[in-house]
Amino acid sequence: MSQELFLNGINADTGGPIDGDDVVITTDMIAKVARGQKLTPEDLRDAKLRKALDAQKHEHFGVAEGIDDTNLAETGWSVIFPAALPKKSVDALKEALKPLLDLRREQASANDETFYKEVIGPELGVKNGESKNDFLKRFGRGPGPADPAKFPYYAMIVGSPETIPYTFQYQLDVQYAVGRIYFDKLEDYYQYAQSVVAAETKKLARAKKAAFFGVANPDDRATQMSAEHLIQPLAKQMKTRKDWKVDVIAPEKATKANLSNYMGGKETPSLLFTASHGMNFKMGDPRLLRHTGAILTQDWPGPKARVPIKEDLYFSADDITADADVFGMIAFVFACYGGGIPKLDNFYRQAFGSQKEVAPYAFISQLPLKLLAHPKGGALGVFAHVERAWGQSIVWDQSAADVVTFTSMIDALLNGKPAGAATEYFNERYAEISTMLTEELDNSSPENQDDIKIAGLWTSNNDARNYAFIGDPAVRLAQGDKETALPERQKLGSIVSQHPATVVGAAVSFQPDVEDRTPAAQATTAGGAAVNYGIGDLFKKSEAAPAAGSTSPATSGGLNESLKNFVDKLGNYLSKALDDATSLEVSTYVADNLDQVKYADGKYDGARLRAMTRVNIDGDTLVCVPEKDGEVDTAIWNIHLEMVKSAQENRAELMKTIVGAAASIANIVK
Amino acid sequence: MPIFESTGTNDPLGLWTSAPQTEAVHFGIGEEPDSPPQGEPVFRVNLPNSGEAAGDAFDSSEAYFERVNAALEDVPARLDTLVSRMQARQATGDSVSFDVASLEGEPGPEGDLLLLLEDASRPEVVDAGAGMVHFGIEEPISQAWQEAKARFDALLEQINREVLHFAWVETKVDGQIIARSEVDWSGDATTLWAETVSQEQKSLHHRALTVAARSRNMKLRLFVTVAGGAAKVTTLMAAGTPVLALPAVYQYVMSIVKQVRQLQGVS
Repeated sequence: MSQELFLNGINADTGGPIDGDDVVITTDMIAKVARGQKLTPEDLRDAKLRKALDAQKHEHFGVAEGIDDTNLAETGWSVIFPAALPKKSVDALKEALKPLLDLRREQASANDETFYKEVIGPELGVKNGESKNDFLKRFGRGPGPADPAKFPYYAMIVGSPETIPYTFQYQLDVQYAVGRIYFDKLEDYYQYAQSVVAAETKKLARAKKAAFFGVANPDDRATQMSAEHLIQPLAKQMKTRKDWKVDVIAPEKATKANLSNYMGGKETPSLLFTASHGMNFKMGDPRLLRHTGAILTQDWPGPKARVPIKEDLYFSADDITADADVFGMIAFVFACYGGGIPKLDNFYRQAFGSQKEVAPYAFISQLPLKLLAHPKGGALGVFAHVERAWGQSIVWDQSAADVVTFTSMIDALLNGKPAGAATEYFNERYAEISTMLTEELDNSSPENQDDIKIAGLWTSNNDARNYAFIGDPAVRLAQGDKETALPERQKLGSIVSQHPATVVGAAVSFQPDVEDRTPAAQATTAGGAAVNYGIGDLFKKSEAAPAAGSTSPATSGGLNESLKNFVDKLGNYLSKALDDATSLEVSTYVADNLDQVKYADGKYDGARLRAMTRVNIDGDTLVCVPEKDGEVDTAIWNIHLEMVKSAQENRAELMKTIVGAAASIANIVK
Repeated sequence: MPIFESTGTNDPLGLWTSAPQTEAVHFGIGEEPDSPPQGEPVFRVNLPNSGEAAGDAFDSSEAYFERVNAALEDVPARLDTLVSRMQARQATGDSVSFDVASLEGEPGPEGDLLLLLEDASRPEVVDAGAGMVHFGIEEPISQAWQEAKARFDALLEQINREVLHFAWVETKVDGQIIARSEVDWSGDATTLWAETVSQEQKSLHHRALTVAARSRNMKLRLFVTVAGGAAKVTTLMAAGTPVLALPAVYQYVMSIVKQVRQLQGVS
């Protein structure tokens, strides 16, 4: 029997589940994917190793036995950059992050200076497409618990998920405590670094208060499940801690307006946990980059309403106010895409054999980034889900509500563990489920396998794997018995005016791979040019007034104008081509006398339409077959089929070439 | 009559002979003649009656594309070699690459490229791009650079035109139209066949369509090669950016394509 699965993502246009327009995901489909998936040898090795460790001892999964994972002098700390990042960019980032790097260096190298590492440059940095094991080999490490003498346990990635993919982060995270930051502006790096340093060195303390925000939209089983089987048990567990104040925001109060109170407003806790749907947008939607992963609140009337979801129904980065009091907070966002999104839909590719782009590039969602870089003092970190979040991680095997992974992580945070170590429980769960899945697939023949069981294991496996910490993995809850008063908090956090001159004003150009997500940039894409791969924006940058003493990328004698015109048209072509790429239509007409035939509006007047083929992107194909004397006219039909084949090949070739042209332009005007 | 005819600007690859728009679209007799939408490029293939000769014409065009493709693929390596050589000269105390004296030993397309890059590095070129105004008396921008820039502009315009409107493709055998196709930029195609057309003639029109499509793609490929080359040779310029090097590199690439044409015997 096949069952429909629940996932926490909603498509903004339809108000339906993420996959509602394309496909309903069922257990038998996922089981098929699971059988077809190829775990890499290192995935299996890690999974089995961690499973074995799990059986032996229950406290030291990430770092070698005898090492205190709360003490950076024992665990070490590293910052990791992409290998391809130019030196000037690395220097700019290091300058912006200097307060944090200095602090971590001091802490990690207290006993041994090699316990602090800056992984930088073409030799050491993460290379494009590199696996975790290849990366660690450079430091003399293979699979196994972290050995800080060779490579530190805590690792902060500084780079986009395009240059250092999420898959690398997941792999490394299995044995190490990994976090990631990637901001658009240097000021944001500086602001985050200063926030973490100020929180630790100035002893910032927020009140011991946790809030559990649980949405349960009408007629929606996913959020009803998370409200009942995740939020309630977590809150119940928290209430055993008598020194903590626990706010449970019941579904009827889980509105957007109320979330503002808990995300920067007067009720903001030191630990915020939200469970809801996360927003998802179609390619080309101008909200995709800014609002993916935004929290869909109780204001949404549910899937049966089938209404487009406007911004008043969800809470996004744009709703974080300028005076929000989030300094020192740590948040857990349980929602589809709450942490980010890959470029390609992993499920779709494995299930249907073709790649489907769900974003123009992999990125971190804006809500956590806005929280971390807030000018009044940033949140210390956000633990959130990349890609889809599934109900299986809450209710195991359709019946057992099991949230010990969540409660263990929260307990660890409350006990003062750094976030990267506290979130190890999710990695353990991932490793355990990977082993179970592998064993299930290895030990039974396909015909004897239980589709539902395999589907549950596969989705739970990916679900556990895809949690990611956004921020420095060594941060801890800024809790204290005596709360730092709000004015003092804001004074500590408001450091934006103190940016060093080397940081102020440096914007998107400091990181070659950064994407401009400013409202202005988005406005230019809202009018239909959203899928032009951003090449139009390149000229906006190049046409900016040149700095004194420098030469402009503009060109002489109108060359710039003609090139810009060319780029604009190329961008328009791409937009239209992608819009129209949903179908391909080939028609074949025949006439006795071609001279008498007229062509207008895509049709030949005076000729007979003998064959027509329309191929839709979803695989639907409409075919009109030519008939002659009651049988298929094979002569016409064969030539028509050749025309269809040519049309498909030509389109694919042209698109490839145009993307190549766009990339070339990007290269010369960067 | 040329075998491959197209309306509009000259084909930089030299395969299609330029034909006036009016002649190319006058298909009809009697009533108002049929015509493609205004501005739409027309690709017309005039084939001889002999199927073998027609096939030879297509074979020849396909071989030409292969040669051009191979030549374009060589461009990055040739430019890398040039840049390395010039940097080596500079490192050994030789004069900078923009000095005409340093061009000795760089004959052919490479030598011409260096001269044009020198032009592109002149202050009046760079500063005009930066929106600056000079009040001094200076040497005017070279005629060669102006011409190279005009040719590059023409390439951009031609690509724009063909990408946005592509295309109306017509096949004639012995002066008689056997088929025509309207192919839009997204790949949708509507083809009209003469009722009496033979299987062999159907195949010929199919090949005509392929040649037209490949021509369009080759022009884009040409642009990609030029843009990639411009990024490489910027280090040889005293000032300016890769954008300023585009006309020079286009001129350079076209010199190479011209050599291929001469080798192939394409007029």
